[in-house]
Amino acid sequence: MIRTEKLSKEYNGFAAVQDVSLQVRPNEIYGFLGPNGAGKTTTILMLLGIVKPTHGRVLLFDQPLAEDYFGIKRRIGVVAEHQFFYDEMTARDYLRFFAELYDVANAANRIETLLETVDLRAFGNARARDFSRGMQQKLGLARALLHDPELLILDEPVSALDPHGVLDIRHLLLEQARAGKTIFISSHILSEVEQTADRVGIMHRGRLVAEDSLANLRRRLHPQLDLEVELDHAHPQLAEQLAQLPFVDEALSQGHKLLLKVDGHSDHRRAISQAITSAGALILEMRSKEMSLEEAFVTITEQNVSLLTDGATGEE
Amino acid sequence: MTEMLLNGNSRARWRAVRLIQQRELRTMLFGFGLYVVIALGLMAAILLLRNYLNFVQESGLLVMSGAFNFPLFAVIFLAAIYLAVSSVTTIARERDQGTMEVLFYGPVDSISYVLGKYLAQMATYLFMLLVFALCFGLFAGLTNFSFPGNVGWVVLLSILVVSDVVAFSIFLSAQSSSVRTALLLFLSILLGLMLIQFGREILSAIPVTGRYYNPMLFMQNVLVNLNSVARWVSPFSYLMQGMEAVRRGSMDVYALLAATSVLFSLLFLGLSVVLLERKGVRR
Repeated sequence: MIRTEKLSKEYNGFAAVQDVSLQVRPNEIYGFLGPNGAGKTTTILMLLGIVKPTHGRVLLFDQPLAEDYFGIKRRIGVVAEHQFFYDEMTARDYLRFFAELYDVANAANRIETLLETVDLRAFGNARARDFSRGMQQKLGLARALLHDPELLILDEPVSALDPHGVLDIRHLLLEQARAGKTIFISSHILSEVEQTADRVGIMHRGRLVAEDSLANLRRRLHPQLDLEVELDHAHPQLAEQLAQLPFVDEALSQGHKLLLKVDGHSDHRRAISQAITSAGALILEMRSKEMSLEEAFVTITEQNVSLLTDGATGEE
Repeated sequence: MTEMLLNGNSRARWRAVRLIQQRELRTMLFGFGLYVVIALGLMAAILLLRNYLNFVQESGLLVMSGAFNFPLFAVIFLAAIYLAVSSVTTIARERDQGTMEVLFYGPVDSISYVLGKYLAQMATYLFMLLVFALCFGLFAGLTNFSFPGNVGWVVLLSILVVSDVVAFSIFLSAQSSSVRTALLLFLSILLGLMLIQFGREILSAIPVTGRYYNPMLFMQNVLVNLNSVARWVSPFSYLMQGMEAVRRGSMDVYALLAATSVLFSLLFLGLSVVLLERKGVRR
Protein backbone atom coordinates (compact mmCIF):
# COMPACT_ATOMS: atom_id res chain seq x y z
CA MET A 1 0.00 0.00 0.00
CA ILE A 2 2.85 2.36 0.96
CA ARG A 3 6.47 1.57 0.15
CA THR A 4 9.41 3.89 0.45
CA GLU A 5 12.85 3.09 -0.89
CA LYS A 6 15.83 4.77 0.77
CA LEU A 7 13.80 7.93 1.19
CA SER A 8 15.94 10.89 2.26
CA LYS A 9 15.44 14.61 2.72
CA GLU A 10 18.12 17.18 3.36
CA TYR A 11 17.55 20.82 4.29
CA ASN A 12 20.68 22.93 3.74
CA GLY A 13 22.94 20.01 4.48
CA PHE A 14 20.90 18.82 7.47
CA ALA A 15 19.55 15.32 6.97
CA ALA A 16 15.95 15.40 8.24
CA VAL A 17 15.20 11.93 6.91
CA GLN A 18 17.82 9.36 5.92
CA ASP A 19 17.38 6.22 3.88
CA VAL A 20 13.94 5.35 5.18
CA SER A 21 12.63 2.16 3.60
CA LEU A 22 9.29 1.28 5.12
CA GLN A 23 6.41 -0.83 4.00
CA VAL A 24 2.75 -0.58 4.96
CA ARG A 25 0.71 -3.62 3.97
CA PRO A 26 -2.89 -3.51 2.81
CA ASN A 27 -5.56 -3.54 5.55
CA GLU A 28 -3.18 -2.96 8.44
CA ILE A 29 -2.89 -0.22 11.01
CA TYR A 30 0.68 0.98 10.94
CA GLY A 31 1.89 3.07 13.87
CA PHE A 32 4.61 5.53 12.92
CA LEU A 33 6.44 6.60 16.05
CA GLY A 34 9.35 8.77 16.99
CA PRO A 35 10.37 11.58 19.31
CA ASN A 36 9.89 15.20 18.24
CA GLY A 37 12.14 16.08 15.33
CA ALA A 38 12.66 12.44 14.34
CA GLY A 39 11.48 13.13 10.78
CA LYS A 40 7.95 11.70 10.97
CA THR A 41 6.12 14.69 9.50
CA THR A 42 8.75 15.20 6.79
CA THR A 43 8.33 11.55 5.83
CA ILE A 44 4.54 11.94 5.69
CA LEU A 45 4.87 15.08 3.54
CA MET A 46 7.12 13.16 1.17
CA LEU A 47 4.54 10.35 1.01
CA LEU A 48 1.98 12.94 -0.06
CA GLY A 49 4.26 14.58 -2.61
CA ILE A 50 4.18 17.88 -0.72
CA VAL A 51 7.88 17.75 0.06
CA LYS A 52 10.18 16.42 -2.65
CA PRO A 53 12.71 13.83 -1.47
CA THR A 54 16.41 14.53 -1.95
CA HIS A 55 16.94 10.83 -2.69
CA GLY A 56 14.83 7.72 -2.84
CA ARG A 57 11.26 7.21 -3.91
CA VAL A 58 7.73 6.63 -2.67
CA LEU A 59 5.29 4.10 -4.05
CA LEU A 60 1.63 4.39 -3.18
CA PHE A 61 -0.62 1.58 -4.34
CA ASP A 62 2.53 0.18 -6.05
CA GLN A 63 3.10 3.21 -8.25
CA PRO A 64 4.87 6.55 -7.96
CA LEU A 65 2.53 9.44 -7.21
CA ALA A 66 3.49 11.23 -10.44
CA GLU A 67 2.21 8.31 -12.50
CA ASP A 68 -1.41 8.92 -11.54
CA TYR A 69 -1.37 12.02 -9.32
CA PHE A 70 -5.10 12.74 -9.19
CA GLY A 71 -6.15 9.08 -9.15
CA ILE A 72 -3.88 8.26 -6.22
CA LYS A 73 -4.78 11.42 -4.28
CA ARG A 74 -8.45 10.46 -4.51
CA ARG A 75 -7.69 7.14 -2.81
CA ILE A 76 -6.03 8.79 0.20
CA GLY A 77 -7.50 10.62 3.18
CA VAL A 78 -5.19 12.82 5.22
CA VAL A 79 -5.46 14.36 8.67
CA ALA A 80 -2.60 16.62 9.68
CA GLU A 81 -1.65 17.57 13.21
CA HIS A 82 -2.98 21.11 12.74
CA GLN A 83 -6.17 21.90 10.87
CA PHE A 84 -6.59 24.98 8.70
CA PHE A 85 -9.89 26.44 7.54
CA TYR A 86 -11.08 29.19 5.27
CA ASP A 87 -12.34 32.16 7.27
CA GLU A 88 -15.77 32.26 5.73
CA MET A 89 -16.65 28.56 5.82
CA THR A 90 -18.93 26.78 8.25
CA ALA A 91 -18.26 23.12 9.04
CA ARG A 92 -20.87 22.10 6.46
CA ASP A 93 -19.49 24.48 3.80
CA TYR A 94 -16.02 23.08 4.42
CA LEU A 95 -17.13 19.49 3.94
CA ARG A 96 -19.25 20.48 0.92
CA PHE A 97 -16.21 22.13 -0.69
CA PHE A 98 -14.06 19.04 -0.26
CA ALA A 99 -16.90 16.70 -1.24
CA GLU A 100 -17.05 18.53 -4.55
CA LEU A 101 -13.28 18.46 -4.92
CA TYR A 102 -13.27 14.67 -4.42
CA ASP A 103 -16.42 14.30 -6.52
CA VAL A 104 -18.27 12.49 -3.72
CA ALA A 105 -21.56 10.93 -4.79
CA ASN A 106 -24.60 11.75 -2.67
CA ALA A 107 -22.51 14.33 -0.84
CA ALA A 108 -25.28 15.87 1.30
CA ASN A 109 -26.06 12.56 3.02
CA ARG A 110 -22.42 11.66 3.41
CA ILE A 111 -21.70 15.03 5.05
CA GLU A 112 -24.56 14.63 7.55
CA THR A 113 -23.48 11.07 8.38
CA LEU A 114 -19.91 12.13 9.00
CA LEU A 115 -20.90 15.17 11.06
CA GLU A 116 -22.96 12.77 13.17
CA THR A 117 -20.08 10.30 13.40
CA VAL A 118 -17.65 12.90 14.71
CA ASP A 119 -20.31 14.39 16.95
CA LEU A 120 -20.37 17.80 15.24
CA ARG A 121 -23.84 17.80 13.70
CA ALA A 122 -25.09 20.44 16.09
CA PHE A 123 -22.21 22.71 15.03
CA GLY A 124 -22.57 22.18 11.27
CA ASN A 125 -23.52 25.79 10.63
CA ALA A 126 -20.90 27.31 12.91
CA ARG A 127 -17.68 28.74 11.49
CA ALA A 128 -15.03 26.03 11.52
CA ARG A 129 -12.30 28.53 12.34
CA ASP A 130 -13.96 29.30 15.68
CA PHE A 131 -14.02 25.64 16.78
CA SER A 132 -11.88 24.36 19.63
CA ARG A 133 -8.78 22.44 18.55
CA GLY A 134 -10.43 19.14 19.39
CA MET A 135 -13.48 19.97 17.27
CA GLN A 136 -11.24 21.10 14.42
CA GLN A 137 -9.39 17.80 14.65
CA LYS A 138 -12.68 15.92 14.39
CA LEU A 139 -13.77 18.02 11.41
CA GLY A 140 -10.42 17.31 9.76
CA LEU A 141 -11.06 13.61 10.24
CA ALA A 142 -14.54 13.94 8.74
CA ARG A 143 -12.94 15.66 5.73
CA ALA A 144 -10.42 12.86 5.37
CA LEU A 145 -13.20 10.23 5.42
CA LEU A 146 -15.55 12.06 3.02
CA HIS A 147 -14.53 10.19 -0.12
CA ASP A 148 -14.25 6.83 1.63
CA PRO A 149 -10.49 6.50 0.96
CA GLU A 150 -8.66 3.18 0.88
CA LEU A 151 -5.67 4.63 2.71
CA LEU A 152 -5.80 6.97 5.69
CA ILE A 153 -2.69 8.93 6.63
CA LEU A 154 -3.05 10.51 10.03
CA ASP A 155 -0.50 12.74 11.72
CA GLU A 156 -1.20 13.01 15.46
CA PRO A 157 -4.98 12.64 15.00
CA VAL A 158 -5.85 12.52 18.70
CA SER A 159 -3.31 14.97 20.10
CA ALA A 160 -5.92 17.67 20.79
CA LEU A 161 -8.78 15.46 21.94
CA ASP A 162 -10.20 14.84 25.40
CA PRO A 163 -10.44 11.22 26.66
CA HIS A 164 -13.97 10.81 25.22
CA GLY A 165 -12.79 12.14 21.89
CA VAL A 166 -9.78 9.81 21.92
CA LEU A 167 -12.07 6.85 22.57
CA ASP A 168 -14.47 7.89 19.79
CA ILE A 169 -11.68 8.30 17.27
CA ARG A 170 -10.11 4.98 18.32
CA HIS A 171 -13.42 3.22 17.68
CA LEU A 172 -13.80 5.01 14.39
CA LEU A 173 -10.32 3.99 13.25
CA LEU A 174 -10.84 0.37 14.30
CA GLU A 175 -14.14 0.42 12.41
CA GLN A 176 -12.34 1.73 9.33
CA ALA A 177 -9.70 -0.98 9.68
CA ARG A 178 -12.42 -3.64 9.95
CA ALA A 179 -13.93 -2.23 6.77
CA GLY A 180 -10.67 -3.03 5.01
CA LYS A 181 -8.98 0.36 5.13
CA THR A 182 -5.24 0.76 5.55
CA ILE A 183 -4.29 3.23 8.25
CA PHE A 184 -0.93 4.92 8.66
CA ILE A 185 -0.96 6.73 11.98
CA SER A 186 1.83 8.89 13.29
CA SER A 187 1.54 9.64 16.97
CA HIS A 188 3.48 10.35 20.09
CA ILE A 189 0.63 8.99 22.25
CA LEU A 190 2.13 5.53 22.51
CA SER A 191 -0.72 3.99 24.51
CA GLU A 192 -3.05 4.92 21.66
CA VAL A 193 -0.87 3.28 19.03
CA GLU A 194 -0.39 0.25 21.28
CA GLN A 195 -4.13 -0.32 21.31
CA THR A 196 -4.70 0.08 17.59
CA ALA A 197 -1.58 -0.69 15.53
CA ASP A 198 -0.82 -4.04 13.96
CA ARG A 199 2.76 -3.04 13.23
CA VAL A 200 4.91 -0.08 14.17
CA GLY A 201 7.80 1.76 12.62
CA ILE A 202 10.04 3.77 14.92
CA MET A 203 11.93 6.80 13.65
CA HIS A 204 14.92 8.19 15.47
CA ARG A 205 17.15 11.04 14.27
CA GLY A 206 15.80 10.79 10.73
CA ARG A 207 16.24 7.05 10.42
CA LEU A 208 13.78 4.19 10.66
CA VAL A 209 15.31 2.11 13.45
CA ALA A 210 12.59 -0.49 13.95
CA GLU A 211 9.70 -1.89 11.98
CA ASP A 212 7.76 -4.90 13.17
CA SER A 213 4.68 -6.07 15.04
CA LEU A 214 4.61 -5.00 18.66
CA ALA A 215 4.89 -8.62 19.88
CA ASN A 216 7.98 -9.22 17.76
CA LEU A 217 9.55 -5.97 18.88
CA ARG A 218 9.06 -6.91 22.51
CA ARG A 219 10.51 -10.35 21.93
CA ARG A 220 13.52 -8.97 20.16
CA LEU A 221 14.15 -6.23 22.67
CA HIS A 222 13.45 -8.20 25.77
CA PRO A 223 13.97 -11.95 25.25
CA GLN A 224 13.05 -12.72 28.88
CA LEU A 225 9.49 -12.91 30.13
CA ASP A 226 8.73 -11.74 33.67
CA LEU A 227 6.27 -13.97 35.51
CA GLU A 228 4.69 -13.21 38.86
CA VAL A 229 3.14 -16.19 40.64
CA GLU A 230 0.97 -15.78 43.72
CA LEU A 231 0.89 -18.84 45.98
CA ASP A 232 -1.45 -19.93 48.82
CA HIS A 233 1.38 -19.41 51.32
CA ALA A 234 5.11 -18.78 51.38
CA HIS A 235 7.39 -21.55 50.03
CA PRO A 236 10.97 -20.29 50.55
CA GLN A 237 12.66 -23.32 48.95
CA LEU A 238 10.50 -23.32 45.84
CA ALA A 239 12.43 -20.46 44.17
CA GLU A 240 15.67 -22.47 44.40
CA GLN A 241 13.96 -25.52 42.91
CA LEU A 242 12.50 -23.55 40.02
CA ALA A 243 15.86 -21.87 39.30
CA GLN A 244 17.17 -25.36 38.40
CA LEU A 245 14.76 -25.58 35.46
CA PRO A 246 16.58 -24.98 32.11
CA PHE A 247 14.25 -22.23 30.90
CA VAL A 248 14.22 -20.27 34.18
CA ASP A 249 16.95 -17.62 34.30
CA GLU A 250 16.14 -16.20 37.70
CA ALA A 251 13.70 -17.01 40.53
CA LEU A 252 13.04 -14.95 43.63
CA SER A 253 10.70 -15.59 46.52
CA GLN A 254 8.89 -12.60 48.09
CA GLY A 255 6.49 -13.83 50.78
CA HIS A 256 3.57 -15.45 48.99
CA LYS A 257 4.92 -14.43 45.64
CA LEU A 258 7.43 -15.88 43.24
CA LEU A 259 9.12 -13.60 40.71
CA LEU A 260 10.50 -15.50 37.72
CA LYS A 261 12.46 -14.48 34.65
CA VAL A 262 11.98 -17.12 31.98
CA ASP A 263 13.01 -17.58 28.37
CA GLY A 264 10.46 -15.57 26.36
CA HIS A 265 10.82 -17.42 23.06
CA SER A 266 8.31 -20.10 24.04
CA ASP A 267 5.47 -20.50 26.52
CA HIS A 268 6.69 -22.29 29.69
CA ARG A 269 3.72 -21.57 31.94
CA ARG A 270 2.41 -25.15 31.90
CA ALA A 271 5.81 -26.58 32.93
CA ILE A 272 6.16 -24.00 35.69
CA SER A 273 2.66 -24.78 37.00
CA GLN A 274 3.46 -28.46 37.09
CA ALA A 275 6.73 -27.83 38.93
CA ILE A 276 4.98 -25.67 41.53
CA THR A 277 2.06 -28.04 42.16
CA SER A 278 4.33 -31.07 42.35
CA ALA A 279 6.24 -29.20 45.07
CA GLY A 280 2.99 -29.07 47.04
CA ALA A 281 2.11 -25.40 46.51
CA LEU A 282 -1.16 -24.02 45.24
CA ILE A 283 -1.16 -21.31 42.54
CA LEU A 284 -3.70 -18.54 43.18
CA GLU A 285 -2.69 -16.35 40.24
CA MET A 286 -0.04 -16.18 37.50
CA ARG A 287 0.67 -12.97 35.64
CA SER A 288 3.12 -12.26 32.84
CA LYS A 289 4.52 -8.76 32.59
CA GLU A 290 5.11 -7.66 29.00
CA MET A 291 7.27 -4.81 27.86
CA SER A 292 5.02 -1.87 27.02
CA LEU A 293 5.36 0.03 23.76
CA GLU A 294 6.57 2.94 25.83
CA GLU A 295 9.40 0.84 27.28
CA ALA A 296 10.24 -0.53 23.83
CA PHE A 297 10.22 3.01 22.39
CA VAL A 298 12.45 4.36 25.13
CA THR A 299 14.86 1.43 24.81
CA ILE A 300 15.13 1.90 21.05
CA THR A 301 15.42 5.67 20.99
CA GLU A 302 17.55 6.22 24.08
CA GLN A 303 19.94 3.34 23.57
CA ASN A 304 20.18 3.77 19.80
CA VAL A 305 19.06 0.20 19.21
CA SER A 306 18.36 -0.74 15.61
CA LEU A 307 15.94 -3.59 14.96
CA LEU A 308 15.83 -3.40 11.22
CA THR A 309 18.04 -6.36 10.32
CA ASP A 310 15.97 -9.54 10.50
CA GLY A 311 16.10 -11.14 13.91
CA ALA A 312 19.20 -9.25 14.98
CA THR A 313 19.20 -6.74 17.77
CA GLY A 314 22.23 -4.53 17.71
CA GLU A 315 23.43 -1.19 18.92
CA GLU A 316 24.40 1.42 16.39
CA MET B 1 -5.96 16.00 -27.54
CA THR B 2 -9.52 14.74 -27.08
CA GLU B 3 -8.22 11.85 -25.01
CA MET B 4 -6.23 14.26 -22.86
CA LEU B 5 -9.29 16.42 -22.31
CA LEU B 6 -11.47 13.51 -21.38
CA ASN B 7 -9.21 11.39 -19.20
CA GLY B 8 -9.81 11.20 -15.46
CA ASN B 9 -6.78 13.27 -14.50
CA SER B 10 -7.82 16.18 -16.73
CA ARG B 11 -11.37 16.08 -15.37
CA ALA B 12 -10.07 16.05 -11.80
CA ARG B 13 -7.71 18.93 -12.58
CA TRP B 14 -10.49 21.02 -14.12
CA ARG B 15 -12.73 20.27 -11.14
CA ALA B 16 -9.97 21.59 -8.87
CA VAL B 17 -9.50 24.68 -11.07
CA ARG B 18 -13.23 25.38 -11.01
CA LEU B 19 -13.55 24.98 -7.25
CA ILE B 20 -10.52 27.11 -6.42
CA GLN B 21 -11.71 29.76 -8.85
CA GLN B 22 -15.29 29.74 -7.50
CA ARG B 23 -14.23 30.02 -3.87
CA GLU B 24 -11.82 32.86 -4.62
CA LEU B 25 -14.35 34.69 -6.80
CA ARG B 26 -17.06 34.34 -4.14
CA THR B 27 -14.68 35.79 -1.53
CA MET B 28 -13.89 38.74 -3.78
CA LEU B 29 -17.49 39.43 -4.80
CA PHE B 30 -18.64 39.37 -1.19
CA GLY B 31 -15.70 41.49 -0.09
CA PHE B 32 -15.71 45.19 0.64
CA GLY B 33 -12.59 46.12 -1.35
CA LEU B 34 -13.97 45.41 -4.81
CA TYR B 35 -16.86 47.85 -4.39
CA VAL B 36 -14.61 50.55 -2.91
CA VAL B 37 -12.39 50.32 -6.00
CA ILE B 38 -15.39 50.38 -8.35
CA ALA B 39 -16.76 53.44 -6.53
CA LEU B 40 -13.36 55.18 -6.66
CA GLY B 41 -13.03 54.41 -10.36
CA LEU B 42 -16.48 55.79 -11.12
CA MET B 43 -15.82 58.89 -9.03
CA ALA B 44 -12.61 59.53 -10.98
CA ALA B 45 -14.47 59.02 -14.26
CA ILE B 46 -17.26 61.40 -13.21
CA LEU B 47 -14.72 64.01 -12.18
CA LEU B 48 -12.91 63.80 -15.53
CA LEU B 49 -16.14 63.87 -17.52
CA ARG B 50 -17.33 66.88 -15.52
CA ASN B 51 -14.13 68.71 -16.39
CA TYR B 52 -14.67 67.91 -20.08
CA LEU B 53 -18.26 69.18 -19.81
CA ASN B 54 -17.06 72.43 -18.25
CA PHE B 55 -14.43 72.73 -20.96
CA VAL B 56 -17.04 72.16 -23.69
CA GLN B 57 -19.32 74.73 -22.08
CA GLU B 58 -16.58 77.33 -21.70
CA SER B 59 -15.01 76.85 -25.13
CA GLY B 60 -18.29 76.48 -27.03
CA LEU B 61 -17.13 73.28 -28.73
CA LEU B 62 -19.88 71.35 -30.49
CA VAL B 63 -18.01 68.12 -30.97
CA MET B 64 -15.53 66.45 -28.63
CA SER B 65 -14.07 63.11 -29.58
CA GLY B 66 -12.36 60.74 -27.20
CA ALA B 67 -13.95 62.13 -24.03
CA PHE B 68 -14.09 58.63 -22.60
CA ASN B 69 -10.45 57.73 -23.36
CA PHE B 70 -8.87 59.06 -20.20
CA PRO B 71 -11.74 58.05 -17.84
CA LEU B 72 -11.54 54.56 -19.36
CA PHE B 73 -7.79 54.42 -18.77
CA ALA B 74 -8.33 55.63 -15.19
CA VAL B 75 -10.84 52.91 -14.29
CA ILE B 76 -8.77 50.20 -15.99
CA PHE B 77 -5.67 51.42 -14.14
CA LEU B 78 -7.48 51.37 -10.77
CA ALA B 79 -8.96 47.94 -11.46
CA ALA B 80 -5.55 46.61 -12.46
CA ILE B 81 -3.91 47.98 -9.30
CA TYR B 82 -6.66 46.43 -7.16
CA LEU B 83 -6.30 43.07 -8.91
CA ALA B 84 -2.51 43.27 -8.65
CA VAL B 85 -2.73 43.71 -4.86
CA SER B 86 -5.35 40.99 -4.63
CA SER B 87 -3.29 38.58 -6.77
CA VAL B 88 -0.01 39.30 -5.05
CA THR B 89 -1.51 38.33 -1.69
CA THR B 90 -3.69 35.43 -2.80
CA ILE B 91 -1.18 32.55 -2.75
CA ALA B 92 0.97 34.03 0.00
CA ARG B 93 -2.10 34.37 2.27
CA GLU B 94 -3.20 30.78 1.71
CA ARG B 95 0.32 29.50 2.28
CA ASP B 96 0.54 31.59 5.45
CA GLN B 97 -2.85 30.38 6.73
CA GLY B 98 -2.08 26.73 5.95
CA THR B 99 -5.23 26.22 3.85
CA MET B 100 -3.11 25.69 0.75
CA GLU B 101 -1.40 22.67 2.30
CA VAL B 102 -4.77 21.07 3.07
CA LEU B 103 -5.83 21.51 -0.57
CA PHE B 104 -2.67 19.78 -1.75
CA TYR B 105 -3.39 16.74 0.46
CA GLY B 106 -6.15 16.09 -2.05
CA PRO B 107 -6.50 16.16 -5.84
CA VAL B 108 -5.01 19.62 -6.39
CA ASP B 109 -1.67 20.27 -8.11
CA SER B 110 0.33 23.41 -8.81
CA ILE B 111 -1.17 23.87 -12.29
CA SER B 112 -4.79 23.65 -11.12
CA TYR B 113 -4.05 25.89 -8.15
CA VAL B 114 -2.36 28.68 -10.15
CA LEU B 115 -4.97 28.46 -12.90
CA GLY B 116 -7.84 28.59 -10.39
CA LYS B 117 -6.38 31.69 -8.76
CA TYR B 118 -5.72 33.37 -12.12
CA LEU B 119 -9.22 32.70 -13.48
CA ALA B 120 -10.84 34.06 -10.30
CA GLN B 121 -8.97 37.36 -10.70
CA MET B 122 -9.86 37.56 -14.39
CA ALA B 123 -13.52 36.81 -13.68
CA THR B 124 -13.47 39.63 -11.12
CA TYR B 125 -12.07 41.96 -13.78
CA LEU B 126 -14.82 40.98 -16.20
CA PHE B 127 -17.37 41.74 -13.49
CA MET B 128 -15.76 45.15 -12.94
CA LEU B 129 -15.76 45.81 -16.69
CA LEU B 130 -19.46 44.98 -16.81
CA VAL B 131 -20.23 47.46 -14.02
CA PHE B 132 -18.04 50.12 -15.67
CA ALA B 133 -19.66 49.51 -19.07
CA LEU B 134 -23.15 49.97 -17.62
CA CYS B 135 -22.13 53.14 -15.80
CA PHE B 136 -20.24 54.56 -18.80
CA GLY B 137 -23.32 53.86 -20.94
CA LEU B 138 -25.35 55.86 -18.45
CA PHE B 139 -22.78 58.69 -18.46
CA ALA B 140 -22.82 58.72 -22.28
CA GLY B 141 -26.60 59.07 -22.22
CA LEU B 142 -26.46 61.87 -19.66
CA THR B 143 -23.60 63.88 -21.22
CA ASN B 144 -24.12 63.21 -24.93
CA PHE B 145 -20.43 62.30 -25.22
CA SER B 146 -20.17 59.42 -27.64
CA PHE B 147 -18.04 56.31 -27.36
CA PRO B 148 -15.38 56.08 -30.04
CA GLY B 149 -16.07 53.20 -32.40
CA ASN B 150 -12.82 51.45 -31.48
CA VAL B 151 -13.52 51.29 -27.74
CA GLY B 152 -14.02 47.52 -28.06
CA TRP B 153 -10.38 47.11 -29.11
CA VAL B 154 -9.23 49.09 -26.08
CA VAL B 155 -11.39 46.98 -23.75
CA LEU B 156 -10.07 43.78 -25.34
CA LEU B 157 -6.48 44.94 -24.88
CA SER B 158 -7.28 45.91 -21.30
CA ILE B 159 -8.29 42.30 -20.61
CA LEU B 160 -4.92 41.11 -21.92
CA VAL B 161 -3.07 43.79 -19.96
CA VAL B 162 -4.90 42.99 -16.72
CA SER B 163 -4.12 39.33 -17.39
CA ASP B 164 -0.41 40.30 -17.48
CA VAL B 165 -0.72 42.24 -14.22
CA VAL B 166 -2.50 39.29 -12.56
CA ALA B 167 -0.03 36.70 -13.92
CA PHE B 168 2.97 38.75 -12.78
CA SER B 169 1.43 39.33 -9.32
CA ILE B 170 0.63 35.63 -8.93
CA PHE B 171 4.25 34.92 -9.81
CA LEU B 172 5.37 37.25 -6.99
CA SER B 173 2.86 35.66 -4.63
CA ALA B 174 4.05 32.14 -5.46
CA GLN B 175 7.49 32.92 -4.09
CA SER B 176 6.39 34.73 -0.93
CA SER B 177 5.79 32.98 2.38
CA SER B 178 3.68 35.74 3.87
CA VAL B 179 1.33 38.49 2.78
CA ARG B 180 3.74 41.11 4.11
CA THR B 181 6.66 39.77 2.07
CA ALA B 182 4.47 39.60 -1.04
CA LEU B 183 3.27 43.18 -0.63
CA LEU B 184 6.78 44.47 0.07
CA LEU B 185 8.06 42.73 -3.05
CA PHE B 186 5.24 44.19 -5.13
CA LEU B 187 5.74 47.71 -3.76
CA SER B 188 9.51 47.51 -4.32
CA ILE B 189 8.99 46.60 -7.98
CA LEU B 190 6.37 49.32 -8.42
CA LEU B 191 8.68 51.84 -6.79
CA GLY B 192 11.58 50.67 -8.94
CA LEU B 193 9.57 51.19 -12.13
CA MET B 194 8.46 54.63 -10.96
CA LEU B 195 12.05 55.57 -10.10
CA ILE B 196 13.21 54.58 -13.55
CA GLN B 197 10.41 56.58 -15.18
CA PHE B 198 10.74 59.74 -13.09
CA GLY B 199 14.51 59.46 -12.70
CA ARG B 200 14.88 59.43 -16.47
CA GLU B 201 12.68 62.51 -16.81
CA ILE B 202 14.48 64.43 -14.04
CA LEU B 203 17.98 63.53 -15.22
CA SER B 204 17.21 64.26 -18.85
CA ALA B 205 16.34 67.83 -17.84
CA ILE B 206 19.85 68.37 -16.46
CA PRO B 207 22.21 69.70 -19.18
CA VAL B 208 25.43 67.77 -19.66
CA THR B 209 28.47 70.00 -20.07
CA GLY B 210 32.14 69.31 -20.60
CA ARG B 211 34.06 67.72 -23.42
CA TYR B 212 35.04 64.57 -21.56
CA TYR B 213 32.86 61.66 -20.52
CA ASN B 214 30.46 62.80 -17.86
CA PRO B 215 28.96 60.53 -15.10
CA MET B 216 25.66 62.36 -15.56
CA LEU B 217 25.58 61.34 -19.21
CA PHE B 218 26.27 57.75 -18.16
CA MET B 219 23.35 57.84 -15.67
CA GLN B 220 21.06 59.37 -18.30
CA ASN B 221 21.97 56.60 -20.75
CA VAL B 222 21.44 53.90 -18.12
CA LEU B 223 17.99 55.24 -17.23
CA VAL B 224 16.98 55.64 -20.89
CA ASN B 225 17.89 52.01 -21.51
CA LEU B 226 16.18 50.82 -18.32
CA ASN B 227 13.11 52.77 -19.35
CA SER B 228 13.06 51.06 -22.74
CA VAL B 229 13.20 47.68 -20.98
CA ALA B 230 10.46 48.77 -18.55
CA ARG B 231 8.24 49.68 -21.50
CA TRP B 232 8.28 46.00 -22.49
CA VAL B 233 8.01 44.71 -18.93
CA SER B 234 5.33 47.00 -17.57
CA PRO B 235 1.81 45.89 -18.59
CA PHE B 236 0.52 49.47 -18.18
CA SER B 237 2.93 50.60 -20.85
CA TYR B 238 1.28 48.02 -23.16
CA LEU B 239 -2.11 49.54 -22.43
CA MET B 240 -0.94 53.09 -23.18
CA GLN B 241 0.83 52.00 -26.36
CA GLY B 242 -2.24 49.96 -27.35
CA MET B 243 -4.62 52.91 -26.83
CA GLU B 244 -2.33 55.06 -28.93
CA ALA B 245 -2.24 52.37 -31.64
CA VAL B 246 -6.05 52.15 -31.64
CA ARG B 247 -6.32 55.95 -31.88
CA ARG B 248 -3.96 55.96 -34.86
CA GLY B 249 -5.58 52.90 -36.39
CA SER B 250 -2.24 50.97 -36.40
CA MET B 251 -3.68 47.53 -36.02
CA ASP B 252 -0.35 45.82 -36.73
CA VAL B 253 1.16 47.52 -33.66
CA TYR B 254 -1.99 46.61 -31.73
CA ALA B 255 -1.71 42.96 -32.80
CA LEU B 256 1.96 42.86 -31.80
CA LEU B 257 1.13 44.30 -28.37
CA ALA B 258 -1.75 41.86 -27.91
CA ALA B 259 0.43 38.89 -28.87
CA THR B 260 3.21 40.06 -26.55
CA SER B 261 0.67 40.44 -23.74
CA VAL B 262 -0.58 36.89 -24.22
CA LEU B 263 3.00 35.55 -24.19
CA PHE B 264 3.75 37.65 -21.09
CA SER B 265 0.79 36.09 -19.24
CA LEU B 266 1.65 32.56 -20.33
CA LEU B 267 5.29 33.03 -19.34
CA PHE B 268 4.50 34.28 -15.83
CA LEU B 269 1.77 31.72 -15.20
CA GLY B 270 4.20 28.98 -16.23
CA LEU B 271 6.90 30.45 -14.00
CA SER B 272 4.39 30.62 -11.11
CA VAL B 273 3.71 26.88 -11.43
CA VAL B 274 7.44 26.09 -11.49
CA LEU B 275 8.09 28.39 -8.55
CA LEU B 276 5.23 26.94 -6.52
CA GLU B 277 6.63 23.45 -7.03
CA ARG B 278 10.11 24.55 -6.01
CA LYS B 279 9.02 26.67 -3.06
CA GLY B 280 6.42 24.18 -1.86
CA VAL B 281 3.04 24.74 -0.27
CA ARG B 282 4.08 24.81 3.36
CA ARG B 283 4.56 27.84 5.51
